[in-house]
Amino acid sequence: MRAVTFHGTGKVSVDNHPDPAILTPYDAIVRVTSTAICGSDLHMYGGYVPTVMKGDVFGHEFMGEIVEVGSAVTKVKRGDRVLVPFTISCGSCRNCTLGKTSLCDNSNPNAWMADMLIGYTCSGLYGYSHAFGGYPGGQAEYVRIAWADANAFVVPEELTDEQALFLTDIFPTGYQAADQARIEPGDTVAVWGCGPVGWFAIQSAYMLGAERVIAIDRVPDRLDRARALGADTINLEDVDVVETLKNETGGRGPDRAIDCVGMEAHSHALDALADKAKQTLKLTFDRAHVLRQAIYAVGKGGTVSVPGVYVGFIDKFPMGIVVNKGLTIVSGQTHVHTYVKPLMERIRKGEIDPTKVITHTLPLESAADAYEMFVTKSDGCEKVVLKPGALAA
Amino acid sequence: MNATRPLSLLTGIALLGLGGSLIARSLSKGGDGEATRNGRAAVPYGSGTRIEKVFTIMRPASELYDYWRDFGNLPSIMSHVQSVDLVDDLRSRWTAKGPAGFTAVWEAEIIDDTPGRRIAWRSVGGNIPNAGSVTFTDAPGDRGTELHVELEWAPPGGPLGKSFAHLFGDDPGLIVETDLRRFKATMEAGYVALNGTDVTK
Repeated sequence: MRAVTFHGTGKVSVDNHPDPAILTPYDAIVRVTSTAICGSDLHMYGGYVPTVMKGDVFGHEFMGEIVEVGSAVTKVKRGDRVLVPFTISCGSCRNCTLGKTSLCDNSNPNAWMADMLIGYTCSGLYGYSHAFGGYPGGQAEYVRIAWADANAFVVPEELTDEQALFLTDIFPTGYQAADQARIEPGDTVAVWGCGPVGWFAIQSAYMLGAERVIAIDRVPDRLDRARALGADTINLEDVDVVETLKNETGGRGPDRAIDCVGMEAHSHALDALADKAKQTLKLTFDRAHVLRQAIYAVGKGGTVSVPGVYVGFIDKFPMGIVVNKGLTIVSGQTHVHTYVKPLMERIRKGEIDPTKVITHTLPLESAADAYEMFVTKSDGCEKVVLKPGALAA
Repeated sequence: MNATRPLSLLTGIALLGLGGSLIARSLSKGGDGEATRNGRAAVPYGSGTRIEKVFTIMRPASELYDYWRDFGNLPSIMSHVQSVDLVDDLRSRWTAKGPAGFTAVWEAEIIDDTPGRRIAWRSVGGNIPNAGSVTFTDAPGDRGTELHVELEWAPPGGPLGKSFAHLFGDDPGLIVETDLRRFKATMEAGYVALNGTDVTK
């Protein structure tokens, strides 16, 4: 089969790989019909994620048709059209039974690596480094999925691939960020980062009762898209973000802050430049400017919700602010399984149109160009959907 | 056993084992007939290498005990254990394979068997003297069962310890941990996670 393959920092190509095989009676094989490139793939592409190796297949947002199932699979069958969450659930451990599927105890075959890095492993993830499972990813013609009964969600015929695809990651990720922020009536929610996850987080904040959303970015196209959702916007290149947020909220600061940027934050602030230098020298993994700013800018008693990806350590964490303003910090990989059905229902009812996040649809074979376009944000690139089997342009 | 499935011996031993220091300890406390049955501990007290690992498994203690007590199940969990043949209700014969064709064979006897709660064993003869125990206790709330495994084997300096090192490499603790993780996944989720790419440690 053909699959998007990593060849070192800034290098991917579509290569031949053996077709995946059923490895356990609980597996299924999915023939991928649509797969997307995620902003978090760019962290791997950029060389910032440990234990990514040459030859790895990327991709954790994918859907398609089941073409084979193991003997113990009972809830889905050959021919079913399914979407597959990027976090892998065994369906049976305590966290999975509580709906905290990204904390699955059993789905990471390389749990010992993750234990060393983070103390206790999170769930395995498709196409996202060996420490997080070493599972070949979904930017491919075929994917083997583990525990198919727990991880394959049948997509009703009335929904197109493009409507359903983002239930695998970014819609639930943006939604969980808003959900964990515990938004109350009247709240102002500040969202840093208006990429696809921020775009879903803004809409989710409104769904969950936000009075007002203020979106922060530096890419004019992204700010336009946030405004189209009803958000007020701040271009961080133009004004002092903290001061502007304060002035816009009656001097109280936003009630909730959501960091949809993560570890590759861009800023000209002093702390951000120091982060950049250290990251370049491999002295630190993560550039945490946005997180620090969110903690500083959020109002007293507020919540800072972090769906953005961080992989390692950050420097200069402003713990004194957290303590003295009485802040709550919430984060986590996404418990996608818990959100798939309710959010699918919102899509079905027309409360949100996820297809609007897509800026480019390309053949899988064009993946190398697509990564480069996405990383440079050229041609207005925000979200790329790749189609296996389509002819390259 | 399925050669593609990573297993480990250590756990085997764990299963087999901990008897040594346990025996010695009970002796020092006055002992009982069981502990002194064969006149000496498999591993003299205080002289061995010891590993303790704890895992919480979301299944009832009785179910975990039953699986473990049927030693024939254990090769599917322990990566280095090739086979366990039951000699009688208390005795079993273990064959384990390490790198470079090294093979260890020993007989184990159960020295404590408390249904649903605890199994302890020690080796009798063979080239790797070892002992171990597994204890099952209820975890708080609805968290399932805490599995506590203790293993002990002859000191690494001596020839017997070297045999052990041949089997388990330089990080036996990790092997035991991996085996127990496999046990947990098997009991909770029916199967051990595989990615088809990495050789699980």
